[in-house]
Amino acid sequence: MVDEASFDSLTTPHIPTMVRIAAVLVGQAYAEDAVQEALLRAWQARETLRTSSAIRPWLLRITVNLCHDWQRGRFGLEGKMTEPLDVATNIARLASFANDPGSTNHAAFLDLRREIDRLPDEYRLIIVLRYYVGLDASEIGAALQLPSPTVRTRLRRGLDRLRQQLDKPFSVMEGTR
Amino acid sequence: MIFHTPDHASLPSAFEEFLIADGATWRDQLTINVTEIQKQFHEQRAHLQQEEIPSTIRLPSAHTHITRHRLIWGGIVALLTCLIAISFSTIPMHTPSLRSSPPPLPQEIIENPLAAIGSMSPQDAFTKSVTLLPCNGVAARTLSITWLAASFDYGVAYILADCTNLLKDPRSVSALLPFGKTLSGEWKIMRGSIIPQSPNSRMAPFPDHSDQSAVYGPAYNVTVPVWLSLPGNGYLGALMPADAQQYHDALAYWVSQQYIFITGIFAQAPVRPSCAQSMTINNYPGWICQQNGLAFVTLLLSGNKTFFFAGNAPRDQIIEDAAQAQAHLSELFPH
Repeated sequence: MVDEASFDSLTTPHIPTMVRIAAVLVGQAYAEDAVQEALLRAWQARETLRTSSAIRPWLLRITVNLCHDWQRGRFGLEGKMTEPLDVATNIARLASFANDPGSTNHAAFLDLRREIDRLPDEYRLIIVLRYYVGLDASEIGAALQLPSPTVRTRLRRGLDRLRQQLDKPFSVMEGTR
Repeated sequence: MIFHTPDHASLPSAFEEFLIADGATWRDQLTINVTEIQKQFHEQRAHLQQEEIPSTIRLPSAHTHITRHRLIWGGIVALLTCLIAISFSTIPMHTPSLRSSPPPLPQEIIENPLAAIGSMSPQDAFTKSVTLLPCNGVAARTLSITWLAASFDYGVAYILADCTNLLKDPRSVSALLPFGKTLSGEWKIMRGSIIPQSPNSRMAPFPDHSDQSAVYGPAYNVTVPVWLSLPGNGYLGALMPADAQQYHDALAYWVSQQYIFITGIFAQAPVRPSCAQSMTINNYPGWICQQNGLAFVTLLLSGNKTFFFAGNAPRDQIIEDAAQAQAHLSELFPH
């Protein structure tokens, strides 16, 4: 049984990563709240953690699951009558971070983030977890409950797609969506 | 607009470096206050340890055998408890004036008050903490939430869900959900009612969560008062009488095949929404809004009380009915 002090010492090193995950999933404004709640969930479920060495992927998975729950609440319930089904109930939708306060002033970076926001969710999630949160493929796989090869495949395809998007004139892409 | 980065099309590694650099910039500029997060977490943990764990929190299933055993034993205990309760219960719990209702499916509404901690309005808290799966436990095709009236701590949400192809009957589900901050500071659905589509439909109040035991809030059948001239006929009405606990709120609605009218009162001053157009009724200041096919009048009464009247009839009809209802408040919501 993990006591309070042990739990705190085990979880503290991973909090920054949890915040980054939450920031890309639910937005910076909600990230710290989401992590507080993720820690609560982890505390409640601490008996299910078999070894302390597995705590990082376990915490990251809890954070991702919690953020998906929040997305379901935020985006699902804010859906209006006029929105189509795929928008109103899209639980995998990510928070847009193209306009985050942390954005660089460099126009190219802003364009890059905008185009990342436009990627299909299955690619976007993996790209932001890899390059913005800083997770490797095995950690992403653990967090998303996907095999590492699948993560690598999606990452490669996502990068290809992102490159294609960035090479196209913006107006053309707008017209094809 | 064409995006240009040096050689990114021809050199994947350079493109990846570009992503890595932007990721590093983003991480560097993201403010992370670990101490504050831990402080808040410790407070919430201490709070949790004094209370029952909310039923909406689902634990991760890393090693589900432990949870499964608990569920099995929990199920056996619950079954035995039910059997004992049934064998000893000889007096029906119905009050003649109350409509008995089947319990709603538990998965239709999921509340997670922890997610609403720090929310500054009922709308924000509701969005963060409540998940509605109104179509027999499935998310609606579309869902509209109209806040008929709200203060900083309390609001009345009218939910309209399109369940086409998800439910045979009814095809849409509407509900009236008073939502507010409890005395302990938690945001919760106070009580509520699924509104029937027609007189033949069921009326199933949501559980009253105030005592954590899923007891229904009372809902009385009421007819349309003679002084209230609603269009058409064939109305089914319900009254959720005044709650003496906190907001002293009372609600009533009348629904026909074509129309719905909802009125209510609560003991807090209203917050003016962005859609508000100022007006005065019976010398009380207020406003009217139109959203999602509904028009709703809100009035600030003496003693910082809020009165509202809403419906899907034309705006002028709503104003006229609001004036009538306000003039007959004591008759409408007797204490």
